[in-house]
Amino acid sequence: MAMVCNQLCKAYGKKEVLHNLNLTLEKGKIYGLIGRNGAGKTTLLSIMSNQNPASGGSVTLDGENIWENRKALDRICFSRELNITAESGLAQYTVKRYLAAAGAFFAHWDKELAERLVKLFGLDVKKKLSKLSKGMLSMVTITVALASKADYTFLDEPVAGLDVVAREQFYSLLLQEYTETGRTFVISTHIIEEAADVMEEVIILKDGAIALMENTQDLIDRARYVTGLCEAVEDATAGLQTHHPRKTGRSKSVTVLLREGEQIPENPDITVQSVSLQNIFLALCGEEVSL
Amino acid sequence: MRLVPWLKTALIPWAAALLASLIFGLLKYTGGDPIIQRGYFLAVAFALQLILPASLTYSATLPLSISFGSTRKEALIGLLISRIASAVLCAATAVILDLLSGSAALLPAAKLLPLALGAYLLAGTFSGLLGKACLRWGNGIGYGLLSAASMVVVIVVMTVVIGTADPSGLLGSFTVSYAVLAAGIVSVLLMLPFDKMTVYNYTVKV
Repeated sequence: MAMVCNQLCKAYGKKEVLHNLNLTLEKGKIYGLIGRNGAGKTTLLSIMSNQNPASGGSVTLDGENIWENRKALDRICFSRELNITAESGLAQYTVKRYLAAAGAFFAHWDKELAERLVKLFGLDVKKKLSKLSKGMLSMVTITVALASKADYTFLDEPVAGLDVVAREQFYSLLLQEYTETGRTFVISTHIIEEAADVMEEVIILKDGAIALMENTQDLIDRARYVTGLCEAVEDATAGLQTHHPRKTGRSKSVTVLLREGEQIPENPDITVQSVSLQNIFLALCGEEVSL
Repeated sequence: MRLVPWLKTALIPWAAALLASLIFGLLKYTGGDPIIQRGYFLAVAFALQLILPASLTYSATLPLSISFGSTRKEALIGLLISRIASAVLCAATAVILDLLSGSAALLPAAKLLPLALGAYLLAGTFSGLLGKACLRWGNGIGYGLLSAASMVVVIVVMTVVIGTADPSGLLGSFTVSYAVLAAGIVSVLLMLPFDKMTVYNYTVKV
């Protein structure tokens, strides 16, 4: 019971966005999909939901290709930031009409839940989408994602524009829905620290490929931030998997991802600290900036 | 297959046609040449279809249907059904209102119906082509210009063709009526491969 991306490729013209990407999403987990802008997160999610044809490779759900597969598509929902422009045609849609359209298309739409969420978020259903703030639009996309009741639900930047209270509400609703139904969620977000608590597994996408996929807690447990005198840091981390080294005068800092059985030897000239998920991401995907 | 949203999109052009007919129905009682009035009625109905804007409604339903889990095949069928349903509704409305206005004697329903249906199908194809152009190269300004251009073309053509359709003349003949209907159906069929290509390659954009 899983969704599998096999050798997935996507190119827009000559620009290749995804390169032979392999990924398996198991049923009943909350995944966090993180990556820099342009890493291919939205493209990946849109291909996994049939919204964007792949240039190569395949996406299967429980062994069946999802492309043009009604049975598979009934189990998938991708809720993304809404594109409210005259060209998209959505500007004239009211919240009520948009949710009614979602209800008409989604096979397992929970109208009662949608109504409860609308009430909880204080959305004015008569308001046009074009008149909603960014945060309100996020609430509409969250409503669609949760009320779709799809087995595999993908949310692209679901908390964009939401204030801290609404973000907490979202994470709480997500966990509640996850606990009650065991649905699989993939959340793409840039607000990593906040989402880290709900992500069971983290997927780091870099340059169109999976740079890392691991249980979030295991990853945090094996990450260390080592600082100290240059030579001492280099000695202590020799042979270890190091990322994002930084030198300031005679001092050096580096993020280490320990493999099984590895340890950092004790040394009075170095300091070893734990690392947050955001800093692990920074270590893996950040680049030195110089003007 | 969920057709309701697609059928709803068919109601927009129909509402436009009805609105146009009501406006021109009112104007009719103020006098004037009924043949020309009928031509204007149909022309303005087409224009309103684009103003309201039917094309935008189509272009909203396509991304919505795909983003809400339709297969491409279902989206293609939905697109065709909405196009045909709007043409049938508009043409039927044109005939009914024409009958009610008392000008039926000028062009019998048996001639006006296929003529209007064919013309609306052609307009639907035209609108579909515009939609594709907008999806391919579109931006707000481009869409506005294309819409304006299409309105002018549709108004001129429909006013000339239907507005001057004298029952005793060539344009008022059964042959022309059914030729226009055939052209409308052929245009829909010719568009099918392009529709299919558009829908199957369609990417819902953020």
